[in-house]
Amino acid sequence: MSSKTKQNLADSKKMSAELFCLTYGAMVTEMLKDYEDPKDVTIQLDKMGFNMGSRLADDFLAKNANVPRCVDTRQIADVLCRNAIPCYLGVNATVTNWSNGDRDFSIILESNPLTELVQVPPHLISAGLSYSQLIAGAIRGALEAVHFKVFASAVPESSNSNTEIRIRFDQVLKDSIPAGEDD
Amino acid sequence: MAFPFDILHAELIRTALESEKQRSAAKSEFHEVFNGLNLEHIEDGLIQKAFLHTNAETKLETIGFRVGRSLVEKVARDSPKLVTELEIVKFICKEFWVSVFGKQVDNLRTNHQGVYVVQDSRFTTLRTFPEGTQFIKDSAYFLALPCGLIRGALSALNIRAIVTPTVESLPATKFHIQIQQK
Repeated sequence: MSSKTKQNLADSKKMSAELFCLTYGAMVTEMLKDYEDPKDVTIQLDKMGFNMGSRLADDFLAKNANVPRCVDTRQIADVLCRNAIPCYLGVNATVTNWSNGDRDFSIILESNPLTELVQVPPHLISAGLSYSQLIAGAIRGALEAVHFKVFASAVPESSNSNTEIRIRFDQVLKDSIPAGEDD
Repeated sequence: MAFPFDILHAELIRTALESEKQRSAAKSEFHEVFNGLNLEHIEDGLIQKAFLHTNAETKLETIGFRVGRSLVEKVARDSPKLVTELEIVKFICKEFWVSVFGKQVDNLRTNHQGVYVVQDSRFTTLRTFPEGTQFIKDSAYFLALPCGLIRGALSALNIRAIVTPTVESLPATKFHIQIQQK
């Protein structure tokens, strides 16, 4: 079993980043055709990101056993930028713009692999399409899987190539035991 | 570092299936509304949704086609000129397969009359399935996008083809490439 799993993982590494990015691009194009409002596409992308994030959190914790338990937002941001984002997107990220008593912060991606091969038309951006919302959704999903409720949104692409993701920490989710199972 | 393509792919399939469900719901709702001839009550976008002629597989295949077309440009950039049909199919099975699916195909057979059978004993997108025959039906959704990829790649290399997958026992897959004569 274990040797087989290792082989499998190696396989997925070989699949190219381009495949991922182009598939994502084609998917967004299809969605723009399906939904009339680009805002709906953003919502849908966020939802997809959320689902992906909650699965990625498992994968991430399985691969990185030495990641410490986070106790504050600074630590969360640190793990995201140093471990998680380089691991899945292959780019470096930095944290800036702390505000609201360490509750709000921004993650800046040095380059965005998702937008490397595409050019998002300006009229779609102004109509509410946020192309990189998938990443924001994934962060939200991943953190929710480890019981941190946050709000995340991709700041609309500015003139420079850096992508900014704004994150606001909301609360720590408590374990809720299903009714009738408490002791 | 690894891009989570598998997870994206799974999400894609989920949304495609969801929109198919929405479409059939819209269709039956439209029938109801239409039979009542209560035309004022038609919700925005209902007609469009009801008459969308795509199911989940078609949608995934279309996405794959687009991606395949552009991916093959990158892969074929430094390769020598491909002249014959066989050369092109061989190229797809070797270089393209390696760069997209991470491994070479295991077997390629042809009848020299435009039908090629590509065999992959451990296909990438089916890697997460348990071995055996239990989930063959579900695996169809996981093969629609790769089929589109292959068809798109062939089309960019000037071959029109029909690509269909067959699975006898997971995760081994056979792709039938049927070349359309121009």
